Amino acid sequence: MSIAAVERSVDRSVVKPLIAPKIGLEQTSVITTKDLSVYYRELEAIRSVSMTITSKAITALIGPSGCGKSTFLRTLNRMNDTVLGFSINGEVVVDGERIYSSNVDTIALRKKIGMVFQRPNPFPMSIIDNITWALTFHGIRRRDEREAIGVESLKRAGLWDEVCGRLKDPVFALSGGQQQRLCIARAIALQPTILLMDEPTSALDPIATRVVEDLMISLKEDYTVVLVSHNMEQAARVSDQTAFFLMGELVEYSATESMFSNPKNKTTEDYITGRFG
Amino acid sequence: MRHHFDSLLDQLNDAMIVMGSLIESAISSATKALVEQDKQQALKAIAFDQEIDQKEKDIEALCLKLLLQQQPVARDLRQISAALKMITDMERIGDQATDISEITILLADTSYIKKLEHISLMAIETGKMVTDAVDAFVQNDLVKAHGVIDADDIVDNLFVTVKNDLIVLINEDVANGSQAMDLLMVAKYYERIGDHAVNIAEWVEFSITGTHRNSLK
Repeated sequence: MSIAAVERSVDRSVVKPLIAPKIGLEQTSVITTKDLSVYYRELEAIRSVSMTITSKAITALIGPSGCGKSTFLRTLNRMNDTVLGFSINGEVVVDGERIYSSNVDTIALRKKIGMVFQRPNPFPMSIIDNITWALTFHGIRRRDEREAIGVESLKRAGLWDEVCGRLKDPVFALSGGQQQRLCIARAIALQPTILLMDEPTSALDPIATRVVEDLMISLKEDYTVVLVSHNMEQAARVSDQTAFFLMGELVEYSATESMFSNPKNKTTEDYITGRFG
Repeated sequence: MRHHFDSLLDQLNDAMIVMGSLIESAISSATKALVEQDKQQALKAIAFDQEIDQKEKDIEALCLKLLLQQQPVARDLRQISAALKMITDMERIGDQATDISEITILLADTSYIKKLEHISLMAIETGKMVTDAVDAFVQNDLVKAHGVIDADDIVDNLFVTVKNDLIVLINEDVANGSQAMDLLMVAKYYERIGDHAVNIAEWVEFSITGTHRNSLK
């Protein structure tokens, strides 16, 4: 079915892609770090962090600016590789594979681990092309197949009803919140098993934030979600596990409810209650 | 860096102390009125109840404001949610002091069929339990909170003693029955005050430790 046909479709809910893509996999990923230290030249940005991120859950990383939480997140899909002076000690294991091994295909790795950034960063092209464009480079040559995946991804990101009549419109016609959900749809289209989200709502208004938070909660049914958030209320609202970082170290890592009602560590308590940070 | 929040929490503690002292006054006025068969004193105890009710509303409003504006977590969240739960029990204590006073007024013109020594002990013990429970909250004193919980056995034993004494009196003379029932009600109200003090102490324990002993987890 062509995009034009999709747009003409009267009953939008019954649109069926020609090839039903598999959005989300039955088996979701588990990430483990072992004594992970990250350096930018001499600066030790992460110090000996060992943690396991569970599947089908949202894990929030919190901590004051400069604590290393974003560095940690970007280390999970080798986004820091091109940063000058970057190096690591220790291991990052995703689904049993050491991702910093020399034989790892980083393109395949990043296909498996999608990323959503602070500000929506759509490509300057149409709404649907934003999603289908990258699929070409991942071997999906048939346009109708790419478009079918695009439609499914938009539906999964909760954006379909808002854009189905204007898929060829420029992406900048969308609001900030819609653009961010489009970026999530774009990440989903590559059928990752892990989604890394670096403060995905920091540029959004409260209503768009709630919509994206609802989306995150629904996504955890299929994906392992790792969320960096400066907004502790958001971490408390959406995440299942929370990790508190301070000066590159993992101070406390526990169930979110426990962390925010009865933290075990005094430093954690002082941070989340606003006594420093 | 959170002076405003801390000053609001201080306000909450101050309000809890005031409500606690109102309850202590209500209990002691009710007890004095009962022992001395003093109607005016009983009316004073009843008057305290209105102040207690108002204080409950004030504290409730302050807690809701804190939840709304500060979105507290950890110890702060526990302190505020514990206060919200505690004031319900504190308000009920005020009601029970009123209930005791109403019986006092009813019996004021008749002689008691027995000495009120055990009921007086119940009054002293429950008054102390309430004071200690509120102090434990304000001072974050877990030992004091546990002391309140343990003291409930003393009050319960005193209630059983009073009940048995009254049964004997009824057996001796059926005409004692009516007043015996009233005095049993008074003893029961004190026993309930002790239970409310225990509830308060359990919320203090939750506020300090993060664990409520009656929680399902």
